[in-house]
Amino acid sequence: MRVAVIGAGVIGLSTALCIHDQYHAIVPALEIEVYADRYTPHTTSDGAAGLWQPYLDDKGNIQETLWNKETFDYLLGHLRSPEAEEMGLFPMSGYNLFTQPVPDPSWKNIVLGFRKLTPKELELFPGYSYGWFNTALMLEGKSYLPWLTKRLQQRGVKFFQKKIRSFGELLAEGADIIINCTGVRAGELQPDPELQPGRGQIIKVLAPWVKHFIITHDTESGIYNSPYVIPGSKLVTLGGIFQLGNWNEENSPRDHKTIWERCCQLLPSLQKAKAVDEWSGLRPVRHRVRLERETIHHGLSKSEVIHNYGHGGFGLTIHWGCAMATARLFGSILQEKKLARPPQSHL
Amino acid sequence: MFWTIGWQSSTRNTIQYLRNHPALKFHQNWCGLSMSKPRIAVIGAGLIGLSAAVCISETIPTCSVTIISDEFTPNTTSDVAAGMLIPHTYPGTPIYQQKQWFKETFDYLFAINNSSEAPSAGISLVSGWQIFKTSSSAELPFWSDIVLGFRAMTEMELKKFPQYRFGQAFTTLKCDCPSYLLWLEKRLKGNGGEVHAKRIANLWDLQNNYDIVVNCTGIGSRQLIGDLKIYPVRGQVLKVHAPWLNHFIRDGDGLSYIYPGIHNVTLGGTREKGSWNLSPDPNISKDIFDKCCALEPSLQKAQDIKVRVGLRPSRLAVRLQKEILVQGEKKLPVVHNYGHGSGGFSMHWGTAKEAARLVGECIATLQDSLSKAKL
Repeated sequence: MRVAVIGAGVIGLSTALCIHDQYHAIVPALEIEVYADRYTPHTTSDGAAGLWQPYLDDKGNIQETLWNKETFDYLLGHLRSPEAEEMGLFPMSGYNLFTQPVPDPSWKNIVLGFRKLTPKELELFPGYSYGWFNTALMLEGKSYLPWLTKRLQQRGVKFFQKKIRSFGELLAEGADIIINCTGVRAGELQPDPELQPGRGQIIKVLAPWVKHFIITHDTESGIYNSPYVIPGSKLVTLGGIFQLGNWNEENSPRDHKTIWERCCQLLPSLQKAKAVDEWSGLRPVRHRVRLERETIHHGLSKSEVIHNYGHGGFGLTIHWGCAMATARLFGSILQEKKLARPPQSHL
Repeated sequence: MFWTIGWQSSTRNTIQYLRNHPALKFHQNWCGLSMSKPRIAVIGAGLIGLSAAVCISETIPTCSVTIISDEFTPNTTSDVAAGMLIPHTYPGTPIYQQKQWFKETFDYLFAINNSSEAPSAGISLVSGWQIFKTSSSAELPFWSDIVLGFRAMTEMELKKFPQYRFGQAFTTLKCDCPSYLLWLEKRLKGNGGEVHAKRIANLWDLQNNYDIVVNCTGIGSRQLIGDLKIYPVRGQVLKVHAPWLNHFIRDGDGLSYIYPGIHNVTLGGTREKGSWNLSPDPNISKDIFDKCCALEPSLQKAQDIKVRVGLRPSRLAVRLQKEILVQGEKKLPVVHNYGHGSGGFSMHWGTAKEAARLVGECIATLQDSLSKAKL
């Protein structure tokens, strides 16, 4: 049984690991291969700050909220393990700020200690009159992806640096099942008008006195188009750019200025911070995550593709729930082909 | 001498007359006719001395302020402390007073934290948890409404600390030494203050050159002025590099704590009453490290571990009062500002303001006596 995973961002690698761990013991000769043109540290996941936080409004998408919760609980369980530091996993508390009262988010009971901000706390942020405080988690892609890669290599998963141009290409080489984790460029394999880039740009600064995340929200400009400050294990990420439809991966001086000025206004102490790095990435934006099976015809034969892409600006936040869901779809494919004992039921 | 410029023989004669006048023997140590520039000596260059000096230089700009100390950052007791704004309760000081000092300190540092000065001053905002193994010991502290967002921890949050039954979550401020002390020193000098390195064995040595002495010698007061009510409480800590940590964790017993700062994390600690021993004990270091790793397992990966020892200048109450020292016909006004024990950082600005106020009173008394002498 040859499984080809396309894409080596957080989605591709975590899905590969999930499938391997659940099925290697019960599927004879399970071979998993990862194909990608970009590997860590050059994936979209590497550039993201790594804060676990879904969008404010789940738009009634309970499934995604459940996957978010599954991911949070999974990561929380790893917090006290010796692996945490290598994974790039650590707790992080902070502030979500608004200019007017808003309903509580779908994830208020998933994170720890969720509460509203007190008047004294709001004095920290002139211009904002309402907000939340909670403890969430950080999962830094630059650490997590190598950690996943190491585990996959230990399990005998093979990696290929190759841009796949069609599903047929892999099927011709003998892949039995394809897992499509191609993120923002999924449209190159199969047109998807619902998938668009949500371009982001970030500046990484050295500001070790910043110990909280601060995410501002402006209902008119939309998610992540308002300044945010997210400290990491070494550097602090400054951002606030979300440009739908912009494929440009080059850093824009105008966006740099926007980010810098607005973040310094939000947190005056940043004026003394030294800029160390800058990066632009394309969030794989879709109105909902595409997580489903599809039968692909190749000549006279047919194969199964499981799509797992379109995680927008919440890939790290939702990844494990999606990996588990993908593994369940994988299991049902195996059952249909009678290629394995029924898999153990996993939550 | 400050007043050698412009002296004429007539002035000198007048001063001589005043000095010898029986009613004015009090002022033998003073040179200026109108106390136009009172000379303040602040003894001690730790947190208390520096903050008092800065406060005096700002609230009484007409005076000159000189810090005199034998130790400076990074070798003061303050440098060993983590600098967290989590007060300790002094049994001998009224609670309303402690609350006022803490609030003044918190508000003062809060303003610095929100400015571009925060990194140079070494100030950061940090959230975290104070946890208790037994519920009964968790009372509402007097400072719970001064720190930010104080509340009980949720069940889910407590899962992170399997051996603990109850906890409090809040956000407070932290001062990093040596940054904060260096920043205070810079502010003092910017206000025209001076800093001299010298060991003072006797306060009377200062009488010739200074009008008022502010005693901020901490544990040194025991020897310098013979205060037997002050005693050391030895604290050993580890300073480690673990930049992924951004929450503080404090065991309610006050013995185990993890305080992340700007450049390092302080792990503690001990409270050994009566010990003057400044040498690090390797067994204690291991014990601190093990206990902190039990609270926060990722500390196993901490690097660059350094040991520090400090003697908390402990006293039932902070001594913050005026005293007029008398030696024959000589008098020396002293403002005492020492004995902050475990709570130096939490109270420092409040006590600095009070010390400055007392210095102002001393100046007023001196000026008052002087104007009476003119009549």
